Amino acid sequence: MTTPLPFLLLSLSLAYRPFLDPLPVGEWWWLLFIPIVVATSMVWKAMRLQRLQFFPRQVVKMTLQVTLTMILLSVLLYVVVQVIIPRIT
Amino acid sequence: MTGTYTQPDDDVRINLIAPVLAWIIPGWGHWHMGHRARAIFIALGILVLYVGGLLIGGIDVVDREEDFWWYCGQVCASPATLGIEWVKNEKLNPAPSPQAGSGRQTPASRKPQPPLPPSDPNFDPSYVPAYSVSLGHANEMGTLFTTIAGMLNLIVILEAFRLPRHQPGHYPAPGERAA
Repeated sequence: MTTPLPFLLLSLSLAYRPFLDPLPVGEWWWLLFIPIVVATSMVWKAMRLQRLQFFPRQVVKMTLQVTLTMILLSVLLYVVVQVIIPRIT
Repeated sequence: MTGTYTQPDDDVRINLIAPVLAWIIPGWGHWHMGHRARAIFIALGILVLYVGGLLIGGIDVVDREEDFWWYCGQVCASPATLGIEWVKNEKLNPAPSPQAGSGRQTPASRKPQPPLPPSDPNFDPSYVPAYSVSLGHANEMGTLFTTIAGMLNLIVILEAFRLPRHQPGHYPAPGERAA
């Protein structure tokens, strides 16, 4: 038998099996960078802050900084690839 | 590391247990040394990334053969990565699927094949793949999530080597010697 019985029974009732099937992220996959940035900020500030009194504020601040930087870099990259390089070549 | 809760450079005491605990469960090293709040935040951040990556891309994002260097990063998150790879290879990929062609086994052919359409003459209605191979953005983001979790945990593990035991109410100023 290819599939263990519990998974076979579960597949008969569910179209999606958590951890076994990928999520249908579709065209909104780029929004997944938000939890990456938030989690990274949370872990980094948890290790680096001397006192956790201002932890939420610092996490939000770092999240916004990273997000803004990523957006600016994306715009810069777009300008270089779509505007500048075609004019050079 | 001035301005943090860690020890000054001239007062180094190396921990050996905390880094191991930090690798087993993210944040456990900090919890072991008494930094409970930091441990919770570290665990929350890293585990959300790791579990989220497995949910987004499925267990197919853990692949030692096709994505070796990403796998190395995923191992840093937790030894659960080793367990997932073992379960995939030993329990979920026991033999070539009935619908797979014969011939030389490749990493791709060892994976469960997707179900054939009903119009195919070899269609088997009882065949259910043990897990689905993730492709495209789902696989990319799932791999990215889990590997970033591993890289963050690597920093946490390295931090745990020189982590001082928590002293309630004491926050050493930059350069201050630990009591």
